[in-house]
Amino acid sequence: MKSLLLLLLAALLPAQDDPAAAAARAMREGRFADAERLYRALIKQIPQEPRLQLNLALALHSGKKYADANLAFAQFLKTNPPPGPVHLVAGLSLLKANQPCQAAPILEKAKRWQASEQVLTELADAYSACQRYPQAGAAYTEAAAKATANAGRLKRAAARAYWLARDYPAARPLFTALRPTFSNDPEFLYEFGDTLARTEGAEAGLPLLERSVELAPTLTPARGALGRALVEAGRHADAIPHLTAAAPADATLLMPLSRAYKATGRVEDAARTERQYRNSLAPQN
Amino acid sequence: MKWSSLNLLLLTLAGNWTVAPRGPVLVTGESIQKPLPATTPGGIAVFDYNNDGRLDLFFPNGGALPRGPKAPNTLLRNDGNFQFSNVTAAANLSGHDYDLGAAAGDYDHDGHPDLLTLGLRGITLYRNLGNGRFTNTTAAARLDNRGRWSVAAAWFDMDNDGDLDLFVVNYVQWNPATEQVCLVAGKPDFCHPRHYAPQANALFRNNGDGTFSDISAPSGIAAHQGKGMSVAAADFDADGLTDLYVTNDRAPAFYFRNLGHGQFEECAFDRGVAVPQDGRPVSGMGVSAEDYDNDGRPDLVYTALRDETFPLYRNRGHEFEEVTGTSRLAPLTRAMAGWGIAFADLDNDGWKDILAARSDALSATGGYGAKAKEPPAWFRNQANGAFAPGAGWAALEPAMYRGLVAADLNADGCLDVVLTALQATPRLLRHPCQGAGNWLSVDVREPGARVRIGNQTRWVSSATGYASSYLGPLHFGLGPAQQVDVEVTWPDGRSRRVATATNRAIQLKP
Repeated sequence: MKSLLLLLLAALLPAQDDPAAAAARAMREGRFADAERLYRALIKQIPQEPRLQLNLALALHSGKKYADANLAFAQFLKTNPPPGPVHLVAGLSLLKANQPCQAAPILEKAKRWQASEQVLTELADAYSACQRYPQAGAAYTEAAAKATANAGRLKRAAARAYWLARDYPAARPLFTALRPTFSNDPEFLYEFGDTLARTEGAEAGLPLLERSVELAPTLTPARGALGRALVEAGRHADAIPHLTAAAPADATLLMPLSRAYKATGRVEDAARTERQYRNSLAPQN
Repeated sequence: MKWSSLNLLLLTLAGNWTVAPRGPVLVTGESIQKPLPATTPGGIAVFDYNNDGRLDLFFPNGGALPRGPKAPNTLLRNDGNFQFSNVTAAANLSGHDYDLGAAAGDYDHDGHPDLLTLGLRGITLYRNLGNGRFTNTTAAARLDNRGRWSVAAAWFDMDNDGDLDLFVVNYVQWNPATEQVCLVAGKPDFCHPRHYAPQANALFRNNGDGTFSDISAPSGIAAHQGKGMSVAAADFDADGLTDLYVTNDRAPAFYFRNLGHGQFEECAFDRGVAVPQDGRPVSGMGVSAEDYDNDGRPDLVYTALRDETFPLYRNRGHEFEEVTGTSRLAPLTRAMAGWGIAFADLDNDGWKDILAARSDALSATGGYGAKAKEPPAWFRNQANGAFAPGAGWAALEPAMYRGLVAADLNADGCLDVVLTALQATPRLLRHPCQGAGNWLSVDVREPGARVRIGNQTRWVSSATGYASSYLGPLHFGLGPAQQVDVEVTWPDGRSRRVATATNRAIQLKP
């Protein structure tokens, strides 16, 4: 990223040691506040020069003033819309400012300029943070295909994105391929086990979910998924401790917990838990 | 107008199923604003309006939203051999407002089936005059759904007094002036049902003189607000009174137990059918109630959206057991979204299969894009409690399928399938009827009547699937059987038993 910024600056360097040159020098020397001040002064003198807006945006981005940088980038891109490297930096600035949903369309333009591993990864991150999981899965997969060193990490991210998108047919082959690498990763085992339990039935997911909980007993969502699968498999007594542990974080688990109580003869517990479940649903209406 | 065979596009499918587009385009009124009603058409009514022994087709239609020109409803008269004539104008059934669903039933007991349409702003009752024409008798019958958005209805004899009462399923409160803009994957799309307030359903008692009384409040029905999508009427607890099961969109379902004397008790949680056992409330859509496991009790299956599966409940008498997982329906339907659904014995082996009209609730031009379109599917009952993917429909193209009714349209002893799809022409799937088992068609027509053949039991019910209705003979697949005993029990307790050869249609009266 630093090299990209320097490349952009080099293309815009002035020929003489004027205020613009001073601003550029401040940038090179890491004095971003000075650069910002100089560029703002220059913009007042020559407001119609878009390159000064870009330099200001880069100074602000480098100085980690992302909110201000985003305004400057938007100003520059308004008059320079063709896809280019600025879209990548502007997208990154939006990501840094925690605006992933705004970053996604900017990074889509960056992808049109260059569908590189870096651009695709940043775009996938934006989609993912914006909860656009199907698109995130596709972008991570595309990035993984271009990656050299990071392919495994990107495939893992793609599998998780598809799982979050509930696109289990897309997630499953990725999980299967990654299993040897992540066989002791409790979150991976939870996501893969949950995928198998949903697509093939509880019995298929149980070994992975049990292993996940064994490795990380505090991984509450895994305990919830394990409890659900155990109820579906008819192992009601085994399900109760897992559902009890996970229900405070996910009220929908009160329903299978109630059924597990009922199946094991704990009628009063079953009735109490069902009441809690029904109360938890009430606000939805 | 006669639908010339030259106008029909016939596509041969694997297994020689053929599909023919028939009727008008289903107009939804969808626009960039994505008004919610645009995702909810369109049901189907299959009934023999002119008593000529052939099942005719009625398609309610929508129109512009929030208001504007209505797309006319359509009545297609069955002329035999898959030829249909559009007789809408002559029948006076074009309609006057945005319609979504339909329910056929002979409410005045004159032998001519009448028709109710369910719409965005109310319901309309059309009385069949018996001469090919219908007349709008909504006001005269004192039927008033108070302008509520209704989707489906069931004609059923609530009190076994011999005439049909009416249950109307109401969806959500919708006001175009306050419709929000919702984004899915960054694109405008239909809003989640949580953005809309629920409504109560309605129950009307037939006074026996051509009028109805709204007993929603005194019956206990109005005390329960939901986001209703469909209804199944059956005597689930075998006490001689017809009960009602109502699916709700992203909310627990209702099971209205008929207590008699016009009283109902909502007890879906007690019966185990409010939500799937994993506790995640689903978007309940179309529903079907039939005895799929041949134990003499009506079971339940309904469609839902992706990752929700199509929940299947086995009736154990006093309560239901969810068997979506053990029946293999969970993995089979996990990636599917569905609307219309029916238990129907497609291969005539004596075991009812499951048929589903599929597509997402989101728009095909919204966040999911074309992925919102799905092909219809059927699941073969393996006679051991489990289902497997059915064959022969693989070549059916994805679309925004909604309504689905199974009916033997050409009286060849095999069930054909009628489908509707948003912004598309209805499809008629013609069964190849080769290699299927023996069959019997039993015409009883009185909702609530029970027909038993061997270990199979069926009930006459006008409500089926999503926003749809079937009022015709009951179809029984009978495998290799050549002679069977048929036992019919009418709602008033009278019964009749006859022995008959198979592969024929019979009509039985008390």
